[in-house]
Amino acid sequence: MAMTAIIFKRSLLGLVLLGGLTVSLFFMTPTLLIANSETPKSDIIIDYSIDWRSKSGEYIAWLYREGVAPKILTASSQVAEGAFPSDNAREHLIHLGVKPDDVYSFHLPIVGCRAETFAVIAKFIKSQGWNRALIISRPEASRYVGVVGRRVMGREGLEVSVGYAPEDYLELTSDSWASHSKVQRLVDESMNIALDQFYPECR
Amino acid sequence: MQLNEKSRASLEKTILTVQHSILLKIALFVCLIAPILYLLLPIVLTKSAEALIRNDQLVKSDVVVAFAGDALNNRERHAVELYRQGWAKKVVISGAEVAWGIHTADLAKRFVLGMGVPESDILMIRDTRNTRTEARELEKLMQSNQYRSVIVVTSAFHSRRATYTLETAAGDFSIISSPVGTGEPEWRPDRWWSRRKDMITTVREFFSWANTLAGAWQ
Repeated sequence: MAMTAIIFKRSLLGLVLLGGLTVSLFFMTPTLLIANSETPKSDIIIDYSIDWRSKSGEYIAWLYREGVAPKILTASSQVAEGAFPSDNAREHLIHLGVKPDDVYSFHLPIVGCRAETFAVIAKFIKSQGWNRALIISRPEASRYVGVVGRRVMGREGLEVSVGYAPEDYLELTSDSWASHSKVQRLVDESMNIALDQFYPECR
Repeated sequence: MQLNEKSRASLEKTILTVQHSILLKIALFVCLIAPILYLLLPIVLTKSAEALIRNDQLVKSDVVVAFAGDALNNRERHAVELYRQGWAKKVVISGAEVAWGIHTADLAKRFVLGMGVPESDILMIRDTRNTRTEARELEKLMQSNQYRSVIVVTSAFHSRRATYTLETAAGDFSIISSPVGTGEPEWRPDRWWSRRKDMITTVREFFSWANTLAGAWQ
């Protein structure tokens, strides 16, 4: 009986600690996922945050005007037959003042994970003679994009930095737990990171 | 003194025996259960994924709807096939804005027109952010046109939740599910955990089910 009580108390304590850890991790998720934004001089800016609700387009156009990089690459896979948001993102950047010759739209194949995407982009960047890439991503993806980007693109000898639009950061971190769509983005990113670890082609 | 020492030794021996006995039981349990779990787990996981699929006997209906979200347009393709075979009189397509100037409903319409469906037989639902808004918009469209029956076309993994959500929004309609077939490049339920893209699809769908059943906040 005494032993049962001890086991019960210890199990209960373990569960309470685990629950506390889970809840803490849950609310710490933005801090864990979001890295510091970088803007070093680069050869190319990669727009990896194509979404008309994001301010990444405006931010990239501003970085271009400030001379952070002379070229921009928008990259996406198709959303329907023959329809690539990267084409529209390119038009949007031109509308924001980027010279048409300085922005490229890159059509990605539909692949399983970020590492595979970056492998394809890296080959293209290398073939153009560029060596330093600044990836502009969504804030919640910034840390993992940095990890995977440096690992995968680093194999091609590329230097990689990651940044995000300040407005996107403010939007995500204001009341992030009060919005279904923001929670969904954070949970999605966490899930992607966790699942990638089980597949060698994604690490 | 000797008696106390004897009693203490006896008590210690009893405690050790009990502890070993518990450990032995745990070890036996693990040795028996682990192989069974190893054999059963793939079956359980595959069956769980198959439970996401709802595929009904086809019945002639007023409309066939292709739910949004298919970059390969296989949902639209299957919906048009059912329309051509005479299972429905109209094709409903839906979508949302994804980038500047790209609205997937317009793209779906273009695709469906390209497959030979007359424009007069195409209806559109716009600005559908998720399954729930899609179901609500579809219900409004059906009410306004006095349609009473619909064939729902979506990906196999999405089919049960899509029809459940629609039945919750519009319980008095006849709702038939005819999902896109499984198999590359589409989602496959068998050993889904061995493929990264099928793993994320399946896990996300389980989370979405939890979200749906909890009547998540908007």
